[in-house]
Amino acid sequence: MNKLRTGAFHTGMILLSLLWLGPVLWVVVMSTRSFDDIAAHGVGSLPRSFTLDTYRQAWTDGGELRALINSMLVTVPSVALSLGWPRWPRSR
Amino acid sequence: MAFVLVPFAVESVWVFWPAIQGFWFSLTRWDGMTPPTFVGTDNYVELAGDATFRGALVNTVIWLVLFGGLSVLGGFGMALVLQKERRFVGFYRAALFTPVVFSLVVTALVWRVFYQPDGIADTLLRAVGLEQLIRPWLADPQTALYAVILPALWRQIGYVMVLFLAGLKAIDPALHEAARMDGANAWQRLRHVTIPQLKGVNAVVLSVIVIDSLRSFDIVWSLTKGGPYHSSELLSTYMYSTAFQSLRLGYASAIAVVIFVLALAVILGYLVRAFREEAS
Repeated sequence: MNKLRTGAFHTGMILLSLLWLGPVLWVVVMSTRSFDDIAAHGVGSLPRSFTLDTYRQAWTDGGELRALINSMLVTVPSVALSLGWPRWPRSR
Repeated sequence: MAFVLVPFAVESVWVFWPAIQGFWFSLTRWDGMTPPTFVGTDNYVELAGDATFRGALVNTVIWLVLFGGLSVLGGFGMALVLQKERRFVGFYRAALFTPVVFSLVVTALVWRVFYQPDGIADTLLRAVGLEQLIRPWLADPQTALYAVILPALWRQIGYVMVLFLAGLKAIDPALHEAARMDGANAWQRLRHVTIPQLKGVNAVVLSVIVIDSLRSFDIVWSLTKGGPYHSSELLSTYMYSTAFQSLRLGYASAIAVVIFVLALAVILGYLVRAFREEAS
């Protein structure tokens, strides 16, 4: 009985996790497919190509480096400031 | 003293003053360029007779009930299921939390591809033989609002789950042990131990949900812009398009005041009840 319940728990949670991670995995897979492949077979098809050229394009033509720097310029100070760094002088 | 006064001064300049100004603008007609002219309560009178506004109000209530209600139910349920430390539980929690780390604009881009004709939604329906259900999800006034709620829920459930997980962690296990000794079953323990113990978290979750519902904008705007025919219009999107597309900033400020009053009413109602319970 206990084993059955554990099994049901894991089965349910794995299905739910897939539902939640599915869209994310789909994006990852789509990012490695060539434009021609997607155009010919649609966004819901199984991948028939593999390329990392999309990443090269995002980096060089898409200005990903600048975007990354900008994100850091926003994220690092706002996290640091809202966590209270540098530490305010505290009474001891 | 300085730790109170400095943030207060900053808040005053960047939060309180613009908020008060908003009330003032709601009593004016203003296009953002020429100086505002005072029109009294004209904007509110117009709001009362504005069918689009009424539609947006109804949609906002639907949004509050479906998005708010279901994310609390889902988040609480998931927190209960995943509260005990066991194998793979960390992975499940992380999986449900994953959507929270994405910007809602990115989420909207992904879901728009799902909903597009011959997108993922249609492919899946065809795969299980339900192709008669297929429709232009985001372009059909019947489905647009619900098609936007779904990705918003997909994100929010993980967020609410984390809030409740933190609350559940803080409950003294001895209380559950004592209740079990007294013969309370799982449902009674949930009803009379867990939920009362979560009172503080409930207040936080309620505030977060009401605020998140009323300010939901990015996901709606990037998926449908409130269309088609205002069928997925919320107060927030209507306010935005009135202000920055129709350039009627006075009228938009009146909508903003209505949103503010709604949020305040729900949260004050809860706080008053909570305080009264504490007093008695």
